[in-house]
Amino acid sequence: MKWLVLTLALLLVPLRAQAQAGEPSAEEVVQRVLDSDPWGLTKGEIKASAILTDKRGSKRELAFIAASRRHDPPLSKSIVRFSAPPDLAGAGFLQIQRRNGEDDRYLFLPALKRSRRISGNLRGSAFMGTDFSFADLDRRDLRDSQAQIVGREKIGSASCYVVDVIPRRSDSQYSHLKLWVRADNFLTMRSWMYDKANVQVKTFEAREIKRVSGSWFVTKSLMTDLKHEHKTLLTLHSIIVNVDIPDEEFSVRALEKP
Amino acid sequence: MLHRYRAQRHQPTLALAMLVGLGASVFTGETAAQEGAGEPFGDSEDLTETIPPSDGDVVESIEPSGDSTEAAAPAAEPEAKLPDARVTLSGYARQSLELVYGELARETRTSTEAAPSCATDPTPCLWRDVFLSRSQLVLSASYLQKRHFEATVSGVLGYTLHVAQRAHRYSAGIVDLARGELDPQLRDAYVAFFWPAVDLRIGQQRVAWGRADFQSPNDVINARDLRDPFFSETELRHQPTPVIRSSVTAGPVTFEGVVSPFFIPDRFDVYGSSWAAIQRQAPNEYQAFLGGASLLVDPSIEREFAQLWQHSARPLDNGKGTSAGTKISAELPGIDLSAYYHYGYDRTPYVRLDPAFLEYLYGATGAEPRPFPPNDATPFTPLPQLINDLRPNRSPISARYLRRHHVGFDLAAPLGPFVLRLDTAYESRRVFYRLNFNSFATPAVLGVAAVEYQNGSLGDLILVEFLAQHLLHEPVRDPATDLPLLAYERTTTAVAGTLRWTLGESWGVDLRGLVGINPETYALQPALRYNPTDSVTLRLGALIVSGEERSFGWYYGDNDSAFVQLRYGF
Repeated sequence: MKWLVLTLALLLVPLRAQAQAGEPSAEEVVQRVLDSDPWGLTKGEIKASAILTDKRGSKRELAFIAASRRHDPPLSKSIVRFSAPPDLAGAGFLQIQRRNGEDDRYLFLPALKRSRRISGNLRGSAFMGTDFSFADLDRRDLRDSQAQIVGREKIGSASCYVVDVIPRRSDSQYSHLKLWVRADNFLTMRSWMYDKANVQVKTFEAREIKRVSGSWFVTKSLMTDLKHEHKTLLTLHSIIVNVDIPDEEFSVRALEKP
Repeated sequence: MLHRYRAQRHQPTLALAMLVGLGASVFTGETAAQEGAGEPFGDSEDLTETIPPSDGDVVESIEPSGDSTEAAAPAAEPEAKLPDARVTLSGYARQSLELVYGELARETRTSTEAAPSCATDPTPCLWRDVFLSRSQLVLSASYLQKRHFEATVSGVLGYTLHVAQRAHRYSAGIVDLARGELDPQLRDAYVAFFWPAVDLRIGQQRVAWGRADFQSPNDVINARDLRDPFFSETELRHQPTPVIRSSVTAGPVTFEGVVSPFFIPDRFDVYGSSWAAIQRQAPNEYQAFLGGASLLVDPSIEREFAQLWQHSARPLDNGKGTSAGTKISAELPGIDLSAYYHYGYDRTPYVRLDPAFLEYLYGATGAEPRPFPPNDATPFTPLPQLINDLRPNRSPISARYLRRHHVGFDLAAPLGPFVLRLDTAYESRRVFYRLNFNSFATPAVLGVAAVEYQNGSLGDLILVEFLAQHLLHEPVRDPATDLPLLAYERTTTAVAGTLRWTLGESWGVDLRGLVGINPETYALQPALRYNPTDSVTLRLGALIVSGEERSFGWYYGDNDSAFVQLRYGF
């Protein structure tokens, strides 16, 4: 019997050690988060809507199509075309992420019939009035950050790494973020964002995820601005992944096409 | 608390995969992740999971009953290919009411202003609008075939009700003081073909060159609509014109060629409206002549008659009216550059009044302007003399358009939270007016330096533009009347600004204005904006115009207005 116990123990110890060796570091978790494409904004096309709700319950719905491609990974180029609401219909937004320096961003307004370069330094600002900031969408705060795994929790029945992330960039809008990252597919299922005064200002919650052609997406998510009691429900209605959209489709010339 | 975890497909597989995933080492890098390598689920079939909310009330969160935000959101659907062909329809209906109180306001301060009222002063002057109701329906339709073809048509159906103030001498019996004006316009009507590096657009279209907002020196392709420069929607301030436009892209550089086969003049009123060329400050002789000339036709066709004064000569549609230009632009990391060349026409008509005609109009110095048509007191006798004095084949009033070369350059570059823009241009001939509308043409350089701040929301914008124009030839005073230029100096400088800011969820403020430094003048248009829904915008505001003598604000100083605008977009 002793031999049996000893044998089992000897067999289990390496397995346990292997499991511990397989545990990712916080940096690896963050890197996997960056490698993921939760909103289909790095390679492919999506059709999406965002419902904005203010504290009085008033709603505003944006509808848009976004196309994107990777360039200089993990950076991407993306172009967004809005079809609703009426005052935004026909407008387009082009973003080309830059490794060094600010991203190039252009806005096309059909009333002006021309594209305008807008500041690439709007990282903390709301994207088209939603509760998602530019930084939330391009996750640049995570790219240059210090991370620490502070625990494991379940969301639903999915196990998540709980990661505390401190952005290193001085222009970050957050002092730190607390992420719940699913251990199996590294999608961020929940995120709490804290301002410079260490007050929680926003929460992000994934409400629905979907795997399409082998890649996982957050197809329904809710971003809540706690300070302004404002929230945005972002829904991806259609996802086409791994589409090799030509590079010339991510230009100012292309932005001015309908 | 019921935590309901729902895997729409392959639930056992998912549960097993999650268990396996805890110990699996799946850090295979970006490519592997994207291609599904290391994917813990072991198959590539699509899956959908619904995640319970953090507050724990899973049933309500998954199938929310109280949170209408989620209830309104359609569920994610299976992957569907985006449509190859689509038709888009859009437009808006707009109603504006404008109360033009400038003259009334001026009458209340006559003690400090020299200009008298048209209603009370015996000096003849033309009627002008004091109230306008503008109704517009704007429709646009496009057919799009993937990224290869586009056909677009758009138009405006406008109706304007003008209520004019009775002038002392020249309104009664000449025009109806309340008149309606139907104004249907075909705007865009073009087809476009797109290849990977080449675009071709043929038809009536808007080509917006340049980057400046208030006054763009390089925006020279399309004619302007000057009949309502402050109250109309931005997109209606230029007219789409027949153009063949092609662009070729090579890397970050785009070459664009534009040919306009026909000359399309600006749209403007000569007299009888708030922004017409002839205002109360124009020479009384002109007002008397134009007002009297209107007696020649029935009031029902008076507006058509008035249009005849816009130009006496126009480039013919036999090739002589053709204009062409090219643009080279580069979008580089952190900076955009464009250079322009255009050979076309200055769209401001070059007006010459024959000296004999001027003499006829002005008569003896100090005398009352000669009426037209003549009356019993001043019979037709001068007319034969006038006709005799005019040179052969020379109109008493000639208005033609001058060919000119246009060379321009602009750039845009972000700087922190701002974007800097610079627009410059040189024009070989540019037309200006003296107060008696005898024109002066000179080469000129123009520049606009702008700073813009945006915070990512379309509703918020701060834009400040510094405008300058220098005439390369010293303006010559009019030989007949010794009048200097109207609205411009040899070096004219101004600051223009646009403020658009959202206040709360539904309210906002707009401020658009021009403050002239030399000459001193201003036109300010503050407004309060209310958006009860996404589709409806209500604006309530005012226009305040003033300035030193001969400035824009002085000339159009009667146009102080209060306005309300309602727009419904669809």
